[in-house]
Amino acid sequence: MKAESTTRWLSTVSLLFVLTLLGGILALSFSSLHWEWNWSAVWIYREKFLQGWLTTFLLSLSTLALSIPLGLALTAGRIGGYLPVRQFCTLIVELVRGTPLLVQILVLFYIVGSALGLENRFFAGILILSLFEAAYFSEIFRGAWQSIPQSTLNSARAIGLTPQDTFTQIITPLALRNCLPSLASQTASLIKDSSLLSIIAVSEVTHVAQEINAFTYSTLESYLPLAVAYLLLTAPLALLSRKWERSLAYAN
Amino acid sequence: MQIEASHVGRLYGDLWAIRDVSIQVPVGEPLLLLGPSGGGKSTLLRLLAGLETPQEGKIIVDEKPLSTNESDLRIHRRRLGFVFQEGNLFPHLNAVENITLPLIHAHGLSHTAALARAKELLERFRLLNRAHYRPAELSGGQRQRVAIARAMGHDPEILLLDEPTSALDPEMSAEVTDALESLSQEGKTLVLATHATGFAKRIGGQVAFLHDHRLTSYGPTKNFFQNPPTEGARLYLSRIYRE
Repeated sequence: MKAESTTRWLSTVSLLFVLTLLGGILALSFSSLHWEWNWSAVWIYREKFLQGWLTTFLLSLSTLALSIPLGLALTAGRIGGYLPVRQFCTLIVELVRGTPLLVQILVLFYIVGSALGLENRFFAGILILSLFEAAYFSEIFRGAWQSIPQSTLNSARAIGLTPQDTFTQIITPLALRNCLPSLASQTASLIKDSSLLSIIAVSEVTHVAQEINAFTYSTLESYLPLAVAYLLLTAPLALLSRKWERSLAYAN
Repeated sequence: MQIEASHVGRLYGDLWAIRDVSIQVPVGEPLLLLGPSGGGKSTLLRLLAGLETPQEGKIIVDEKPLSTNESDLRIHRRRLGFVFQEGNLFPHLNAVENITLPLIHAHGLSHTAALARAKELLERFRLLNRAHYRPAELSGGQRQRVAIARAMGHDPEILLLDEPTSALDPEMSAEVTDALESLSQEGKTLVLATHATGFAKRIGGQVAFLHDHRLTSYGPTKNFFQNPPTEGARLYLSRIYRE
């Protein structure tokens, strides 16, 4: 118990040291820049910024809710589907993972979206981003499924479980446990990926920051709060991912 | 319950793991499958257990050939108990849940009845104080005893075990063999692939010696050790004793 509190104390001191060091380097770089801070110009746009942040939050949440089932469907298609289904799902995943999101957004919005008459940028953004993230989620699910040892599946057969019970009682809980850390970190990526939707003028927080910059010519004052805005969303996920990783290491 | 293999052969790729093996599982006494690694012990065990199907010959259960249809095989497997070399407990479930899972999902017991049965088995194998431990928190010997308890949950007539002590140190092996001996004394039929000759001599029964993918001898355990019936058996025993 005593050793534990000593370690905690040491790690706090060390963290403070690291933070001071990083802060010092940043402060030094900024002071050598002779930047004239002009926070009052961007402060005017605080409500717009907050709205953008909420839009990013909502955008990410909707994308998450849509891309996970879509990712599961892609995985199911790649594992269990008939040959054409398997090929189709594999092709989608590889296309999406192999090309820049920027290009996908432009092509899907201006070509496919226009052809389908989809004009709402917010919803189009959610759909495009969901497809992109689903491809990554699908890889995570596939990895988790393949990480279940054959010996465990043999055990399930030996005790006479039906394939359905094996899926619900054994495969799903084990795979879920295995993929939770990667899911959390992919979700953090998803949030940052949503910033690219600014190129089709979805009024999420990056787009708002670009606008504020254009209005005020205060680049750093526009983009530094943007970094903080994303950190507020991604940092809890990083912590969660770390925590799940630890509990996984313990269980194995 | 009567299980019999009749001229069975099982092919992996283009290699026969076993070929033309006929054997009847004796009722009420242990059957020991002995022989060098790769000789076909595990394959025969898996065929008898309905975990695999033979390409040649057939498995006969209660005088009827065993169907190769997966749902029929599942019914066959539910009548037996099977223990793997490394218990293969489900890592996300604790000891008691590992035992109740097949009782609830394969044998239709209520949650309460399954729990009572699991507690009874854990007590019998002196593991009640480990009931809520996950496999990773148990020793190898404890894991293997939980696996035996799981296989015994529905009180099968026949318990098949594939080298249940090979992955354990001598002390843990003893925990497991003691548990098996007591089951055998109660009249449970054990079919056991093993290299543990000391345990084999103690438990008695019959020895089937598998060598080069064939069954080369079959007879009482005592005779096998006193007077090895084939040159292969003599060589096998002399190699084991040298260790």
